[in-house]
Amino acid sequence: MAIAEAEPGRLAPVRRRVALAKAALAIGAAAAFGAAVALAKVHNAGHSKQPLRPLAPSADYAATVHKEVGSPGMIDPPIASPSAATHVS
Amino acid sequence: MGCEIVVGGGSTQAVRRIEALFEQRDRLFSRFRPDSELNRVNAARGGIVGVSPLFASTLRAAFDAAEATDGIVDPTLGAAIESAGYTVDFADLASDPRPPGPAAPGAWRSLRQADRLLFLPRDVKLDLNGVVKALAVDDALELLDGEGFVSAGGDLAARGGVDVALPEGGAVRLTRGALATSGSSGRAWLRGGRRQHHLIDPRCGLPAESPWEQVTVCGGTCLTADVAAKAAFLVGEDGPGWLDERALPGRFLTPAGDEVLNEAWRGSLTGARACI
Repeated sequence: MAIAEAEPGRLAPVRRRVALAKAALAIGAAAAFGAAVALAKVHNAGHSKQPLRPLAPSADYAATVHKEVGSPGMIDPPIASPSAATHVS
Repeated sequence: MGCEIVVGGGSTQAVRRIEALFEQRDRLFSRFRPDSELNRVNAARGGIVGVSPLFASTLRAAFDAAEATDGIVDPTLGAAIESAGYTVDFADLASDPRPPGPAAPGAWRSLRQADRLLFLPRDVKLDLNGVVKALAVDDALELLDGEGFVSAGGDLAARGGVDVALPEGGAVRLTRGALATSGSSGRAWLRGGRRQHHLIDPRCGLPAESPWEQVTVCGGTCLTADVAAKAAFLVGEDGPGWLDERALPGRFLTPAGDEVLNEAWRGSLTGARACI
């Protein structure tokens, strides 16, 4: 008799916690589903969401691969008597 | 700096600033001034040493030159050039009956630089003369008010056109950039009865054996021209092609006085320049 009368009081809080847990799981699942749909839309290969960029190497890569001594100067036939001289020093 | 400085087209004030610039560079980078920063850095080998901003940027340029030339122009040949006998200012250098010291190959990859901190291994000595003079010429040109040129030891950079006499005859008009000539005839001496010179082959650490007596290169800057001229000399027979791969005009003279012009040089003088 004491057990039958006490049972409804002990189960009520348990039932409340179960209901809350179910609700939390449902909300989380719905949020995850929504995020997945949103991400799928962003990364959909069907059309570009961002402006297209050329497949160019980075500046660092280009600087490393195309390491040069430097650019050339320009020489032409002389037009007057030399006013300077280059020589070994 | 042990060479003649010539300035064309500058005001008196600009010439004074240029003189001060070269004096400053000599104070920092001379191998023959006991109190130069170069000698202080070399004395601190085996550890980490702090350097001035100008020293750091010059060292950075030397690294870039070494990387661009696959180590042919190497800033770590201080020990090698001393072994060859170049231990005092060239004006005071006399023949010496003693044999040269041991060879000291280049080791630029063993250096470590982080901004103004440098690690120099104990057995490595810096010599930055491969870039110092050319950088000074480029910086000095910036001090000119208008058109003109600056020449240091025969390496010159110009703003506006200037007609330039070439070694052993001939001339060109330098329309843009710089001309530099590198070779073994300018600084040579006897050590142990053997001819030595200042252009060290970093691969063996000895004065280079080159088929050329001198090489003249036209570059966009004096640094480019000087580094390329040294590299083309040291590369040897492949020098003209090495410069052509980089579209740099080059003129080569053999010890017999024969002239060889690479394709870029010939193309420049005939107007047939490559489209790059």
